[in-house]
Amino acid sequence: MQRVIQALATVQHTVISMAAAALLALPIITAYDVTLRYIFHAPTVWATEISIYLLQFAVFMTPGALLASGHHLRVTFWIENRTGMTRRIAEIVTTLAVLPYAGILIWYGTAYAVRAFDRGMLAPTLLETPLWFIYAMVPIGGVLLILGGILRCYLLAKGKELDGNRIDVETNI
Amino acid sequence: MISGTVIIILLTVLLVCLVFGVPIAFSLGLAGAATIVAASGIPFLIQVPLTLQRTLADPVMLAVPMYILMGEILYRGKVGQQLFEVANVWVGRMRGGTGVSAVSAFTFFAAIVGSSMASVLTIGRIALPEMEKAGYSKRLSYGLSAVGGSLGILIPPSIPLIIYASLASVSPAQLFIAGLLPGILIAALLAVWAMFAAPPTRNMNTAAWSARKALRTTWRALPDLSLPVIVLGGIYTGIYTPTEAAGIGVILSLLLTVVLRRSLSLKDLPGVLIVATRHSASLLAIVAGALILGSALTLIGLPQFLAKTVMEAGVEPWVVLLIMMVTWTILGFFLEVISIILITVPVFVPIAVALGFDPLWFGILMVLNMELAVITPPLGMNLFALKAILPDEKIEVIIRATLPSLAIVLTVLVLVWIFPDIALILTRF
Repeated sequence: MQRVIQALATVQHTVISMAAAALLALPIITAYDVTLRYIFHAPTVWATEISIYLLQFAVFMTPGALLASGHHLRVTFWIENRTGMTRRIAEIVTTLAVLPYAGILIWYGTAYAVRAFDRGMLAPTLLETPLWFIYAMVPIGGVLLILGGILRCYLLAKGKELDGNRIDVETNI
Repeated sequence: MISGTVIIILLTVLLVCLVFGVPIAFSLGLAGAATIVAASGIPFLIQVPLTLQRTLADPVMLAVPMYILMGEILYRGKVGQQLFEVANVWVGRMRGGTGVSAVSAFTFFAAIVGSSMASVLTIGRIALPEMEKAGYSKRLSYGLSAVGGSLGILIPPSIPLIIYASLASVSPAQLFIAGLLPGILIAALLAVWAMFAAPPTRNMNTAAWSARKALRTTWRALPDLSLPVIVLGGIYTGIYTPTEAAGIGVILSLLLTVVLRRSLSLKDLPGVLIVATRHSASLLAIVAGALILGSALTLIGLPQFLAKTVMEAGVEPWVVLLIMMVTWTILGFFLEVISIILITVPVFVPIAVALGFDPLWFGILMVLNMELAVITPPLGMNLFALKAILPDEKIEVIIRATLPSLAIVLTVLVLVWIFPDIALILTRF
């Protein structure tokens, strides 16, 4: 079991690291594009499109990791007044409440991506990126969200220490 | 006709999820999904991925994570120190000089980053001990820091303004320009308050003042001072868009802190990136959840229904505006700024436009209300930022001390309401 949990944590940590790399790429691409436009009068045809895909990667893929480590913003006045076992149960229930949302992302996101694949849909840009590839981020993000929920529930059930409402996935496993 | 049952389902799911501590992003998404199912049936949930893909393809949204990253770099790179020193060397000699210096540094920092918490954490950390040394009351020093920090979301560039621009389909550059004068007005009132309320003793640094020293301090801080000039100047002169300005701002911030000042090492960068990624992703997850709710509201026709009802009821426009502001204030007690904007803008903007309000002016009024939200308990983010700087101070003391400073934001809010030109005049040039 410990190995499974470790693997889940590694997956989430990897996703956050990749999203951080995507975030670093955004200003580099943007500044590069502006420089080309003003100095060489030749802006890229890909900068905005690639930047949007990187942003979508960061938004769609990371909710699971943030759920696992408790970094999502939430209203805490009720839950922070609970202590001990009640608090842990409440935390687990609020984590499980996310599952229907993840289910919708997986089911309908897959339907959307499959439709794009079947029809051979391409982005209406010069890059002509296959859209199924981009649309697939939504259901994959849904799967990662469920994995992040499982990880958080396991940590809560095992009584891992809560730092505020956060559990540091990187260090506490 | 809108079904009452659908509205009850929407509100029940939303409130239950929020109150019991389900993350805001998922509370909004679940409420939206439940509304779609109740109104149109399960197959319409295909709206969910469609809405997410469509809205996150808006290039304006790219600015949000980049401004967050820039704020994090400048915060960790201690850029606020230089800004405060420059302000202090010029105005520190007058009565309330330390407070005026703090306000100047807050204003300048607000012109670089788009977040209020980053402003409080960066400038407050430097200014609060100085104000304490100069014998300022807690009411004055905490108030100046809480409201001064809140300028981060009004003075451009501003993350809430970017998100409002995207939702309300207005130009982010025009909205930035509209935020400028109200922001400067708040800063001016804060400075006047500092001059009158500060103890009459002079700043201790003044004995050694000389023009040469002041110029030398300014020269040393020139790269820091030029950041907002480059970021905002490029936007206003049309050289680049607010999104491109964010990208250039990040690169310049890295050059400033890593290469020039060496206040941030390359070893620190992964940590900075991870924190900025978490902040950005949690904020944009809320945006995604709110978009699902927004598409559900549009599906059931709630914004149009409310706009039509308000028009037919013949309610005075100012009464409607007042109701909206009360709603913002109440939401501000429990939700953070971005969530409030995302929940209310899709409903309020169609009503505001139907009533003939200028959407730029309406956006500035909204952000002024959000300034109140970040300095009012129980979820005043700037209060928590102050508590983080002052770990030994009780949060109750911070709350009590900052309450009088609300009057300044309220004054500007009323002025902008009565005289819309305060926000709009610069947008006409």
